[in-house]
Amino acid sequence: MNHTLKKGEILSVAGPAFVRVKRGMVEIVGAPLKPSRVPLKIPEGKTVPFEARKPSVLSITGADARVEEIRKRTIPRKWDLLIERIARRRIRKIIVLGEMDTGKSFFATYVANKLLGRGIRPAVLDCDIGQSDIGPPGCFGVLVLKRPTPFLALQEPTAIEMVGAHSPALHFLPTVAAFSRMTKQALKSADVLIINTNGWVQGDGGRAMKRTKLEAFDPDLIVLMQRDRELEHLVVREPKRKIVRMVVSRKASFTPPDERKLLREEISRRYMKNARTITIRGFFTARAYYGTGQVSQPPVPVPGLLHAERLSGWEGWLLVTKKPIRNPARLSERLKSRIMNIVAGSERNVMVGLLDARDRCLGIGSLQSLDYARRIARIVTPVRNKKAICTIQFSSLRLDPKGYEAGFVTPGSF
Amino acid sequence: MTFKETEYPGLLGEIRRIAETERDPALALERIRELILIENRIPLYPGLVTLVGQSLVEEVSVSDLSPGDTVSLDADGRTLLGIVAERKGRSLLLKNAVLSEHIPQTRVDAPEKARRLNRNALETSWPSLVFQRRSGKRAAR
Repeated sequence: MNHTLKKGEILSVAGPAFVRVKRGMVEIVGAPLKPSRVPLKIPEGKTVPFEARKPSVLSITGADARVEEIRKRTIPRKWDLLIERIARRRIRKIIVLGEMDTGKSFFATYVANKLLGRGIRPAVLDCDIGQSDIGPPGCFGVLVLKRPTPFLALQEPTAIEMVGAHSPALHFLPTVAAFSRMTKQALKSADVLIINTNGWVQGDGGRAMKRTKLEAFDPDLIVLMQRDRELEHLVVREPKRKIVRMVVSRKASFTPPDERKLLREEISRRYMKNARTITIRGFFTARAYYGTGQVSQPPVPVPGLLHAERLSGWEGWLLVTKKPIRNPARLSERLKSRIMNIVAGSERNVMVGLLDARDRCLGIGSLQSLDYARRIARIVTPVRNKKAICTIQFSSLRLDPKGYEAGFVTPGSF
Repeated sequence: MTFKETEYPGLLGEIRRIAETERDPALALERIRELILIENRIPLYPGLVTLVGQSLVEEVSVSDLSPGDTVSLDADGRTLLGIVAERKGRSLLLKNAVLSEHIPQTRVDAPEKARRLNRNALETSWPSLVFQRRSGKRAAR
């Protein structure tokens, strides 16, 4: 269906929908959109305003698309004033805090697009590993923006680091390590770094995570996207000059957990679309016990044993077997040490990070099989440069070769 | 560090609540087993395990029970846990039932071996971590 807009008019489109500019020019999330044959996809669960910069005609399709004419601009003037302040004062480090569904991603994208329009090179670091806009889920992704985009997910990330879960809970250390590496890397390539955080802002874990990031990053600007005062506890000790409070948009909508999973899987499936099976030999392992011990033969027979390593000190033996060890307590007694049993085949569909010689994440993949003794791995991944892969980094997630979520891995299993 | 970094203390708290408040010991064990099964399925979300665990047991009308249901009930002065095999009105046929009974005092002809609960395990294994002795007990040396 065609929609005609006069200059300055605004149309709000809720996905799933496809929008094509047939004539004129609109701005979406701060990025100009001109006539094109390729429609822009608005994913399910997302609602975006199209602001006509010139008289325009839009074609909007999608059985479940919802279109609404908006009388008043939903993007607050305060956002544009902040952008002017960032440009004028050459602010470099910005962190955006807010509960779930408060429009943080939208804000970060808008600010990045507008700064780019002023000749300032922005980078956005997405720390929401459960609902990432940059890179696959379970990862931090950074994008140094070189051309405007209405959705950060449409551009190839500049770099990613795998945390290995959809929530930092139980994964604080890899989260903080990834945060530290990515912020340093991004600040080398960009004039401004905008950090988009997740919505975990309350409770022990939320406070610990957010305070750790604030202390490690030491931002020039802390943007609070809040409805009332729900973030104030995080910035009690911060200098007032650093804090900017933004009232949450009326249009910021709640996304239920099922829909979040669908959105996540859409991103994973898109990531794995051109994945193929590769075989890697002689790799290192990371975030795993396997591959870090001394390959050895246990002093007592172990039924179905495929591979054994003597781990460090009291860690005992790592035993890879065809079937689960029947009486682990008894075997542990006979070996006079702890045992860790990996059942061959349990590695199937574990999501893995593929690292190069400098521990940079080349991408992620779905582990299909491991020959533990000969150290041969078969992985389905879109990463093309197989020779650059040195290390397989284990996560706590399972992802099938098509990108569908397939369960979890108990931390410490491998 | 003064913040909890995981929700496992909450899960332990749920196990403690079960131990302290569940009057049917057999049901207490089953509840803990269910918690373990749930944790196996969602190992990354101990907080959710606790939340789900709080809805493991519900009080229902006997007339709502069906064959296959696992129930705990007090009947004829006894506490029973079992699986409903048949229900006729309020008369239930339970299979694999476990009877829990508190006996203040009883004499038994014991076999050669018994298993003793060591209530001083922490004092024995890690005395450096003991700051307060358990009241009424002498710490093992």
